[in-house]
Amino acid sequence: MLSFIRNLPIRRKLGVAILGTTAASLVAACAAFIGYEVRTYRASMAEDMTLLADVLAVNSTAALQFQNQSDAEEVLRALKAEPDILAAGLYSGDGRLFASYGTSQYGRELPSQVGQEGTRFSNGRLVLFRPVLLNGARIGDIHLQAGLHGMYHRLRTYVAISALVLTASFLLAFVLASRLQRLIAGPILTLTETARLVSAKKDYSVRAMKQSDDELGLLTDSFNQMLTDIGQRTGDLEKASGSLRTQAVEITSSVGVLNSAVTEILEATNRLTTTATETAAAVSETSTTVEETRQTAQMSNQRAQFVSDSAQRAAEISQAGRKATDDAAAGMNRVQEQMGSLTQSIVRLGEQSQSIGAIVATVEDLAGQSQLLAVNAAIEAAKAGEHGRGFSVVAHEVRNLAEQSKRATGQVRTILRDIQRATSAAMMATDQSRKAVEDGVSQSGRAGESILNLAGKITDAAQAATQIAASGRQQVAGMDQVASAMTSIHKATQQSVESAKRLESAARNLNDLGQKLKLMVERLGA
Amino acid sequence: MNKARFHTRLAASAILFLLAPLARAQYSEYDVKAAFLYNFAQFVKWPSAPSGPVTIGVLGQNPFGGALESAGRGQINVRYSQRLDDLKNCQILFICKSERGRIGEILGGLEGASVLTVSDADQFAHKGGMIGFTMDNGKVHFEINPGAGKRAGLEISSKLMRLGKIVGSG
Repeated sequence: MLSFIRNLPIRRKLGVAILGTTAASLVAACAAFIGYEVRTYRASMAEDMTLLADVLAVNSTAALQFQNQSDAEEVLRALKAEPDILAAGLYSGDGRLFASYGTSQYGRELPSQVGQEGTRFSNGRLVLFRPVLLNGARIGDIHLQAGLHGMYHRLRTYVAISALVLTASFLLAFVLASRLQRLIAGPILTLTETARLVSAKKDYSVRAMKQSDDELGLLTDSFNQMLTDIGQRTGDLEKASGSLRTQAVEITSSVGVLNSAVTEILEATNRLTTTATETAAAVSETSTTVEETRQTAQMSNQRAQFVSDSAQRAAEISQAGRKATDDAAAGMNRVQEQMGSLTQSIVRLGEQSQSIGAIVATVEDLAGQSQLLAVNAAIEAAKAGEHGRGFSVVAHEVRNLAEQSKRATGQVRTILRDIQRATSAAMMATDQSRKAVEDGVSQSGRAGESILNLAGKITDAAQAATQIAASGRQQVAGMDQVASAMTSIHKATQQSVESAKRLESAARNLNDLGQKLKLMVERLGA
Repeated sequence: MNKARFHTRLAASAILFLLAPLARAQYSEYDVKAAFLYNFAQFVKWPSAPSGPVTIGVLGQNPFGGALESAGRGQINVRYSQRLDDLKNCQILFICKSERGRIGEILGGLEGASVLTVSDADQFAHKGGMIGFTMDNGKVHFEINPGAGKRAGLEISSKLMRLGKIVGSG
């Protein structure tokens, strides 16, 4: 609708605007008026009906109180004078329908129960309930039903009047509008025609004719002034475009220079990027190597520490070994002393066994002489005959004893020889033992000396290992420092790579900018 | 369903019993007359309005039993006596049939007093009483003598008069 109006010629548009506004305001006014009328009519009708119901209520108190139905119906029959009333009913205090009106005449039905007090409109009717009061006490209710024919009749009249007024106003507005629109649309149409001419011929010397001194006259003046200005500006513009062309050529050459510079920058950054990337790789490798070296140093440090600890323990053990060799030497000396005394005892034993041998020889000699004596005695006894018999027994016994002694001395001699052999063997053995002990003493002395030497060397080795461990720790610390330095170098390299990339992108942007500028200048030139 | 309807009816008849003392089928003649007496009080104005409830005096042999008290529902006082002097300051005086022989004497004794006189003695309103009960087809009606009322200074409502039969001269 609005877009349709938007495309109408201005003359029609003005007409539509004036007539449309008039019609809308008239319709709104009529609608408001009718609406207000309906409201007022309803309110006054409700008021009238309430009043009527109250009058009827007062008149029917006695009939209700004395339950006189005929009298009540007579009271209600007074409603005949009121043509709008369709039906009425009187309800006793217990809510029963007591008397009615209109039910037979109009065939209306009354509610069998008392409804809510007050008035309301429903189904094109006004329905009302009012209490019947006697000395302030409610003794029943009155009910009225009224049709709205009166109101509808009045509404129809209003609508007809409104339609009449609308038509007349519309006609009047139409006549006025056709006059007025000429006043407004005329100068605008002249202006439009002038503008069309200027635009078609590009002739800025044409001027519109002023018809009035209002805003439209002002518009015409401004339009003419604008034409003058445009004419002047066109000349200026032509001059400016000449100089612009010269500048464009300069810009184009500058863009060329810029372009080559950017290309160089790009190459340089490329190189820079490559170098930085290589550096980064080298740094990374070095870092790895440093890390490995550090780990190795750490390991060797641990080992040196271990060696140091072992050397310490070896020194302690060699100390113990030395003490043990000293103890052994002392023991050997004691053994040597005991060997000496043993040798002396054996020598004495040998001497005593020799003296025993002498004694045995003596005893043997004695036994031989006794035997000889016994034989002699036996011969003498045999000679004496009978008297010498006893003596021959004794001589026999002595001879036995002498033989026994001879045998015993032989046994002792054998034993003595054994002893002598044993003592000489013991002598030889003790001699050998003594020599062995002497060797042992000298060897344990040498062992003590070599252990002492070894202890000294081990102590030296322990000191050396401790020094190695200390220097290893220093080496690890140094390696850590080298690693952190490498990390810093790595970061720096990365930063330089990023910077190079940024520089590259900036250069590219600059290059794009140059190209755009060149394009723009070319377009301008075209 | 039927049971519910039965209960509804039962409730409705209970309400009727309480609220409709004039439902003639259930009530005796004197129950109706008692209710009428109570209603008369509401359609009559005394020159000096009673401050409390209206007092009804019953002169003679009481035919109501307790009907007046139940019809009044505590809104009226009832006094019984054989002697007129005891009942002179009542607002309404009901003269029983037992006194029909001395109607004239009683009305004479009330000269100048603002008492609404009611009786069911024959021709009471014609004889100068104010409201006389009559019976027709077992229904209670009443005759009103407006002149008698006016003389006693009472104002009987036109609504009441419309319901009764007007007798006597203005």
